[in-house]
Amino acid sequence: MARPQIANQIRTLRFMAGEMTQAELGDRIGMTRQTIAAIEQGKYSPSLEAAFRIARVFGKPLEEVFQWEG
Amino acid sequence: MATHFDAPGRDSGMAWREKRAWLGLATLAIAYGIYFTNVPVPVDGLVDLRWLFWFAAASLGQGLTFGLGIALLRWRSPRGDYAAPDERDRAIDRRAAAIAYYVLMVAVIWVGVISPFGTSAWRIAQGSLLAIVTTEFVRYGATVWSYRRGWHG
Repeated sequence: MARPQIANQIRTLRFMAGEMTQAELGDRIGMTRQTIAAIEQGKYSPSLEAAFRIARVFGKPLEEVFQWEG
Repeated sequence: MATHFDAPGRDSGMAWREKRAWLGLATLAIAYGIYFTNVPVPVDGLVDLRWLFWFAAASLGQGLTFGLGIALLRWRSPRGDYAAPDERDRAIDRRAAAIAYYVLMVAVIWVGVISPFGTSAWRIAQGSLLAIVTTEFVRYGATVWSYRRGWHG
C-alpha cells in the first residue's frame, strides 16, 4: 500500500471524547465502523464533506483533525 | 465503551461488503470451476445440449450458496454492519465495476468478434459464459483488493 499522505488525529480525538467508539463516530457521520477504522489506519482518504463532518463531531477545525504530509 | 475493534491495526472486522465479495469469489470459483472442468464436450457434428443442464446446475448452485452465505453472514454480523453503503463502499464499487468493464470489453471482442471465424458454436457459447464469469470474478476480486489494500481515490 502506498504511504498515505494525509495523517489524522481521529484515534486521539476519540480518546479525548470519552473513548468514543468507531461505531459511535460512524453513526454520527453516516459511515460504517470499518470505514472509520480504514480512515484511522490511513487506508482510506475521506471526502472533503466527510472530513468536515468528522471535525464537527469533535468540535475542532479541519486542520487539527487532518494534516497534509505531501 | 471501547471495543477490541477500536485498536488501529487490530481490527479484524471486515466490512460487510468485503465479506460479501469474498463469498462471491469463493462461490464463483467453486461452481464454475466444477462446471468448466466437467462440461461435456460434444462429438463433432452432433448437437449435444447436456452442457445446458450443467450450466443450469452451476448457476443454481452458485446462486443458492451465495444466498445462503449472505443470510448466514447477516445473522452472524453485528446489527448495523450491513447498513446502506457509505462513501468508501460506493467508491470501491465504482472502481471494481470500472475494472470489470474493461475485462468484459476485451472478452466480448475475443468471443464475439474474433472467435466466430473458425470456432464452433459450442466453443463460442462456452467462451461467452467464461467471459461473464471472469468479469464477475474480476469485479469481486477488485472489491476485495480495494478493501484490503486501501483506497485513496
